[in-house]
Amino acid sequence: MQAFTRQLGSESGVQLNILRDNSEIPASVAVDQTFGVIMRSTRGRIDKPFSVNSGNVLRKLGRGESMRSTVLNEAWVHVNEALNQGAYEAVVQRLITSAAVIKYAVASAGVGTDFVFSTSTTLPADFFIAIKHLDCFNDGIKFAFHAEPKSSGGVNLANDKITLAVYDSLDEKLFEFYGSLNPLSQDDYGVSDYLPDLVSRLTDSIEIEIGATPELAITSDAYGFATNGQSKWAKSDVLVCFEENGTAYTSSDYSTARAKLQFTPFTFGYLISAGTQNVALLAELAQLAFDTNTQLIFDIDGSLGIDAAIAFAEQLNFGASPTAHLLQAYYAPLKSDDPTHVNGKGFYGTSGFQVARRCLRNAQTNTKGFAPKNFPIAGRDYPLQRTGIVQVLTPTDQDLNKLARAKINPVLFETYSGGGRFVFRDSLTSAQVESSLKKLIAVADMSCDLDDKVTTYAKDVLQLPMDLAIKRMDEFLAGLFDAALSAGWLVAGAGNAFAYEVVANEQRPYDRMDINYWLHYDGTVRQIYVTQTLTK
Amino acid sequence: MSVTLLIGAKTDNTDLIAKLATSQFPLAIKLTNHLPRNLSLPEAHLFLSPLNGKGEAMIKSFADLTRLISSLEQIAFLNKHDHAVTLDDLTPDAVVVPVAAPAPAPVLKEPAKPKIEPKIEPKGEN
Repeated sequence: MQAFTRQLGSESGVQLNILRDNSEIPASVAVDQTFGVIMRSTRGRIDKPFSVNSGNVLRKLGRGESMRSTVLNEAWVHVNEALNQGAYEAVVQRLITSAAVIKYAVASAGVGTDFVFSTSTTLPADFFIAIKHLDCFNDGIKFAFHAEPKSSGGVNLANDKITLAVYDSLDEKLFEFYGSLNPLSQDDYGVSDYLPDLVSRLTDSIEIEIGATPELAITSDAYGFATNGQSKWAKSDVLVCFEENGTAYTSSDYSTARAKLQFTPFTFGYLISAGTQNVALLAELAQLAFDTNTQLIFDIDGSLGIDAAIAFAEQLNFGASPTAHLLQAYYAPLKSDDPTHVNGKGFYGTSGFQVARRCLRNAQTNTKGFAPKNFPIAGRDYPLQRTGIVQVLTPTDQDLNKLARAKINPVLFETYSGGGRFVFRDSLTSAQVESSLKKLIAVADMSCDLDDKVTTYAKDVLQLPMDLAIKRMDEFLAGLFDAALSAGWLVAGAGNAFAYEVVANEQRPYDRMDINYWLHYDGTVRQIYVTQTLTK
Repeated sequence: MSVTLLIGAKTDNTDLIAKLATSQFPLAIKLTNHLPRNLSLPEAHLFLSPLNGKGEAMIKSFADLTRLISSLEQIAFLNKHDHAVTLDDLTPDAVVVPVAAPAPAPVLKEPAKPKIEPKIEPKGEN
């Protein structure tokens, strides 16, 4: 018997209070190794965003289609390349039109003992079991079910317990469930094992409906064993129960997708355009970048000439955005092999590769959790890792000047010690400034990170007493900015490297706290002037 | 019948776009840029010079056309321009070929019928 009690009354004794935890240190998760994207894909749920990693990308997004059928398929190439080159995860919102339809995959009792499989928008009157597959595969699914023999007194009886398996079109198993067709059935722990209940506890990708017959008859093709001893399964052919119905996306389709990605519980540190040249989608992504204080890495079509590329960037008018530093344009006039080998040689944007390298860099943190974000993904150390690259135009110095003035970062062949390579030649944001830290991608990266850290901690101290919240916030900022200084993010400029204040608001001192901080980030060398002078 | 879309920051072309859905694709279109700046449209492979720059493109499908129009609408919106681009569907209007009137059939003179007096039956009394 323990020596204490949890709640002491008037009696004599020892009360042990619950463990009080003041040891928690704010820790960042892999948010800045994850990116968000709005894209067309051939698989993936359409009602909300979902996460994809390098291990399940083919299963979740499909195996990729040729860009000859539609240029929208470039997005799949980007996401695959990014996940294979360093991104930890992608948060995907699939683009659809209002014409997209999810149908039921249905098994109905046919003539005799066979089951008939079909797809239907509504449940047929005589269905046995129906599946709604919310992962929406354009290439369809298959499903199969089987019941073990059940006997009593040596006589086989109909069985309400079945095994249900769902496969993709290539017979890769997606799900397997064992449950009952009887709504009143419970397992040994008294929990409902009625298939719709059981499936809803395990996944939100499938919804099950059970028909009026709550058991499999012994004469069924899915009951027991065949004469060769193999289990008998009733299995469908491929059932196309999602109809994409075209890719005629309107502005409202893009807007809907943006809203879904904004309010997803999944977090992401970057956004990419994944090669889209659609201005409406780019504008929605820019809006999302503003709303979420997240950097948007976007592509300008590499097949455009210099003037057309500049005109494309200018017509977006991103420089007018109050958060133009979050919008970062890349232009790669390069033909290369498709990094996923689905398509032939062509122009592939570099937003996927760029975000992958940023994610990979962010994974390497120092002892205080700071990644080397003061090193932009540009220049010698970050060559474009693709095969068969051919540069289709060679900009003159004047072209490069025009690109820089239009805030476009070209991806070109450059020669360095150790040899030439294709590199991100610059690291400029879209901010229309000439001499300001806001023009540098590294500064945007560090500034977003610190904003994220501060706002996340600020949320943690919400609803605490004002005095305690100010004290905790003050301690947090002191540690945070010291760590940023030691990581080389901040340097002393004309004044201190950083300053901050945490105070109760003068007008509303009872419920509003004001946090202000002034930071001087380290810059990035973009230009070097070298002069040799001969002396006497 | 060919369709002309005036695309601006506040225009709503939903009905006309729906009309284009029934067009034969690939569809030849002409775009006219009314903005005082270059217009670069990789989706149509067009680069239009400012103030009345024109270009023609062949659009593969209605989906491609819808996305192109959404881009143009967004450009108009971003640039706060009431009439940024005109899009003309270059499908020739169906020419109404006058169908030659069939030659008048020779009028055959019917033989004069013998005049028969209508037979009036007496009404029964039931």
